[in-house]
Amino acid sequence: MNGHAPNNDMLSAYVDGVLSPDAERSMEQHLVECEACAQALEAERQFVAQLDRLAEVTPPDDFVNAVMGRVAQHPVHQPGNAIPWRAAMRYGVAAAVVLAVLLGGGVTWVLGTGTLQNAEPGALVAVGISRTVGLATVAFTGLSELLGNAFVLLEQAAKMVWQLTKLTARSGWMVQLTLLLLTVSLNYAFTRMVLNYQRRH
Amino acid sequence: MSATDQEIVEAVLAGEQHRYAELVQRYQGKIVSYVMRMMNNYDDAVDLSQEVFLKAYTALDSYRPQYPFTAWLFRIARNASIDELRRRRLTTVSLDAPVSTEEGEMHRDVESDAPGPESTYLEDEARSTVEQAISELPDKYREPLVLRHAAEMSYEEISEALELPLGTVKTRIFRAREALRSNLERLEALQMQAASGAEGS
Repeated sequence: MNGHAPNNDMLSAYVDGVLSPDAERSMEQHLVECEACAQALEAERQFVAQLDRLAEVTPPDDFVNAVMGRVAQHPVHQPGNAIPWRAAMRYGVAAAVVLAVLLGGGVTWVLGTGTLQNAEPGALVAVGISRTVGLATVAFTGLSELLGNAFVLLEQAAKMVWQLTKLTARSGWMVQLTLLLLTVSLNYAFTRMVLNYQRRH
Repeated sequence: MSATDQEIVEAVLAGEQHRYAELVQRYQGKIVSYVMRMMNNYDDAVDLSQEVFLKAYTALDSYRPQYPFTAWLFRIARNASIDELRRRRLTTVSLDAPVSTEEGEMHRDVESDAPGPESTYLEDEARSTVEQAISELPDKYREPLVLRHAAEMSYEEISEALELPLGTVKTRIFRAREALRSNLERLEALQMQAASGAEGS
């Protein structure tokens, strides 16, 4: 190297692929023009490859067994302890979101039925149940026809809900808060919509 | 497709202790290589690596899945290596500590028990010059270099493991390679001298 750029640091960074895209481009341009730097790069590559052979320390054959033998003397982690309190809080919030959706939906349904019927509690429940069953039947039939097997769909849905809960639990508190607010406002809007509709009819 | 680190950790925390063997299998080479470069002795490195995996098992519920498992594991390996080296230094006088004299502080000049570079070369030609040159690097250079090459970690993982900014990690690795190059040149010159001396006698 005759004092001009690139220096050894840049060659090192280039070999490791940690140069910025701009620097990498100008380095490549320079390497085409400069034989000395191309040679220096080759030397750097060989040097780094020599260092990479340091990884060739091989543990003894029984290493895993030796560790596991000692691990076995320690108590097994219990599922109850598996989730530290922070994670537990996350799962708690995630569960609250799911509950808010379910309960919110139920409240909306009952409110809607109540204003519509303005009737005895027994009749209210009967209408609620018949509506739920009717809706479920329609949904079930339609979907089972669509997919051939409603249980497969339910299983998939359950898995999806669990994955969503896990995802919610792993996301930050901002995301969880947003989800909660979104759920509450959606439920509120939906309730208002149903009530308005029923008032008009 | 094999399970991710996070999935295995989850399974182990849920009570499937035997699945920890997958993690040991996966990282034994890297951990033993790393500890070996820190301790400079194979048997000590194997013993300490077992301790590292044991510590990681008992502390597994404190691992946060949003961070790379390797970085977490290497932090344990690093602390264990540093503790062990410190423990050993406590029982001896630090060679790095300056000596106070009438003329002010000066470096301690100690004759080494270890065979000198010449006799090392003659007694054990298989011993890698590179390994010796690395062991002579200051800790702050040796550590990131060893993580990069012996443990095959990315710059990001090293930055996580050493809790240093990415830029600092890059600079230290490049400086380490520079220092290593000059250590190597010096050692090779000494070996040439020793070889010609041996021929002459």
